[in-house]
Amino acid sequence: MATSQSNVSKVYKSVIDEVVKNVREAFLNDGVDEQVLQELKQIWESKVTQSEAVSVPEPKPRVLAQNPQDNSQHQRNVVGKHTQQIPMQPAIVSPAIVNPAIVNPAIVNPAPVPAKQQGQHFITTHPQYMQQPHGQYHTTTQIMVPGTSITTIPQQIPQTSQTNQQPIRPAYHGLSVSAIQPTHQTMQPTHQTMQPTHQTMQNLHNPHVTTQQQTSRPSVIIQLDGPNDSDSDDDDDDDDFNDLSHDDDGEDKPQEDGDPLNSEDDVSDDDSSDLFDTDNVVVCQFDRITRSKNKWKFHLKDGIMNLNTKDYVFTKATGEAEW
Amino acid sequence: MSYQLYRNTTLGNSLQESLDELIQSQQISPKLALQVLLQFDKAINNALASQVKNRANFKGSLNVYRFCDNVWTFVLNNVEFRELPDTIKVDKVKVVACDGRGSSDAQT
Repeated sequence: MATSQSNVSKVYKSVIDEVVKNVREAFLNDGVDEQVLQELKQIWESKVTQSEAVSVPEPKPRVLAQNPQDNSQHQRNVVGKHTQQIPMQPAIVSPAIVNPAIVNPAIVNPAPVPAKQQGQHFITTHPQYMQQPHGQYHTTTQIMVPGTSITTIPQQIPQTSQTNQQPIRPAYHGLSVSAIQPTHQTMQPTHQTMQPTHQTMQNLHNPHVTTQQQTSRPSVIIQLDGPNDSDSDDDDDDDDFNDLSHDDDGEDKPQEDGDPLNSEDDVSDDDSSDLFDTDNVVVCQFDRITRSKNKWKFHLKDGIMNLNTKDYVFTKATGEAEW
Repeated sequence: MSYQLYRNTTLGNSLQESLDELIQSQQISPKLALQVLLQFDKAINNALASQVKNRANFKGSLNVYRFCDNVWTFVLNNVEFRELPDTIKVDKVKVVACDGRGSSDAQT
């Protein structure tokens, strides 16, 4: 790999240099400044490097940074400024956005401090309410647990819901954020990765929703999610939560593993445009293509291959395949 | 002769995107960009013919084949490439091959 890849970068570098050298005159004839040619070279080289098709010595943290961003974006909508202070830990991102239906002015400030302190659990609480058309409270709970187990969550849900009519400001704040989360054995890594199902999700938020809704069905509606929240934010969030947490059927929840299941099955049935659609491409010239019954043999040369995002070159290649 | 099919590679696509940017910012004309691409065709064809020494080997199942305008296109599944020098497996690969039978004499 190392030799092959260094070979690729060497070839690419020589091609770039060669092209730049050979077009210099054309640039001059066209009245284009030499600087533009250098800029072309620079952009070109940087694009090749960015493609990561040619291995470079440096590690590439950029890819890792993507995921937390996705998560944080979701969180940011919900928790607002608090989220920014929560350390992102890509490996164990378990953003759980819990919206207890505790109707109590005590939680006007939705416990940002515990959220920060509990950063390793990556849980944020954010009470959020939405008035349904029929005037009922609607609690939304979204718990996303991508591949990590949260096994140390204390079971203090009853406390939360039962004390909600009492002056629980201290209690609530003392309550660790994770306490709001129901602990269920289903929050195991295997379940989450293999089958983040309906079952799991239900267990995750059902106790929540039911206990809290029942015990705290309030008659007063107060905007409790902090002074800085805007209405538009709330609307967006509620919509999001509705999609995820309200669908108790949960049919669409295992989205993560839904796609991979089907993606390969479809290949043979798709139309031709999809048939030829792949990221792994070999561009080359053929010397000889032979076929005997269903056995094909390929004699190729001067190829550039992009396999699993990496580039390879060959001067000759032979291949066999059965049709 | 220099095939243009290598424009559809990492190196070629990067060049085309770069040229597009310069055209967009009106630093070069499309005509000049085309000249650059033609020079790229020459350079990459030459480089592959003269600088690359390693061979490759692959085995898989042929899903689709097409021969059109003297260009073969194959789609292979479950392909194992060897001697890269590592072994690399891919679920699916597309092979586009221009006729190289006459060009090697002309190039070397």
